[in-house]
Amino acid sequence: MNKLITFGLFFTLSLAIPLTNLHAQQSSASISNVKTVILPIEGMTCVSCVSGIKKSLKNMLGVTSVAVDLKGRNAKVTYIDGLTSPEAISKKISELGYKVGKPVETSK
Amino acid sequence: MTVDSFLQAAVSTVPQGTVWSYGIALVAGIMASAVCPCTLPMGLGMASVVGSYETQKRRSGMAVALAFFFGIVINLTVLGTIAGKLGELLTEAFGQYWAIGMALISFAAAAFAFLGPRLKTPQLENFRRPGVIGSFIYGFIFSLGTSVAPLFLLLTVAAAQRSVETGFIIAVFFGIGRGVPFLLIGLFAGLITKFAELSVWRRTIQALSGVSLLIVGGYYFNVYLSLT
Repeated sequence: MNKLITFGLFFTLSLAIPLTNLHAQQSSASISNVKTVILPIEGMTCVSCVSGIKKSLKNMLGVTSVAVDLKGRNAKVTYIDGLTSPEAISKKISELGYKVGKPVETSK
Repeated sequence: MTVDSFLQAAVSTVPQGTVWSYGIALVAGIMASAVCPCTLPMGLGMASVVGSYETQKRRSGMAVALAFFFGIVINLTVLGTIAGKLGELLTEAFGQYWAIGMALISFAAAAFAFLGPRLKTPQLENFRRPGVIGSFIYGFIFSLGTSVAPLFLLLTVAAAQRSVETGFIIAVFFGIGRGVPFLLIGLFAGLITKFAELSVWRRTIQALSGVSLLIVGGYYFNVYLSLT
């Protein structure tokens, strides 16, 4: 009986350790895929513009956070590389009627 | 062409402090009204408030439209003279407070549009003055959230922060340009309402005004939710 319990424990541990490693690898892969980009935007006049851009980008697949700076006339977007791209984000903003400058990648 | 590119191109080609530079500020104000997403809902709100007041008392709609216009011009004039502080009004946090404030004011105006005709005369008298003052405050607060970004850019490009006097004059002209479309909308709405002699039309205008203001309130509440 004791042998059976010991075997069961070893078996469970032997499965759990690789699974934990796999999960850790997936997390680190996801983290390495998360990028932040700053996009200059021309044509924003008011809080409604900020709200419209923010709402539209938040709904994009792969975009994790958006901060729009009316004073600096830019948007700081954090996204998962592979799910979306700075080009796709720029295109989305352009579709709203604003002129988007060259995206600048930043480290957060 | 965006407002930004127009300002940068126009201001750099015209000498500062000339009549032309003030003309550019005026055109910039009109352009800001033309491209700003807030203009349409606010124009609707403005027309509704004017219509609502005009049906209650002749010519009060014109006073309301003028009060809203002066609310915009005076606010932007003050902001132009304190140009260095404008940046504080361009943050997302301020935008949230502004949007919820606009939503609440619009809902309050809608409530008055619905309840106004049912108030007895003495009560109506009490509401009449705050109507004009309220419209002034409405214009004042409205321009805080919708006109600061182009004004900030205008003053930055013109480097007018160095001269309080130039900043003041540019802001006055920009404010007039920003407010004129609303003044015209208000006066037009007042003119239309003037022809609504029959009581059945008055009631319809009152109801439409109330519903329009509810939509405007909903619009700003949605802006608030998007920013949170």
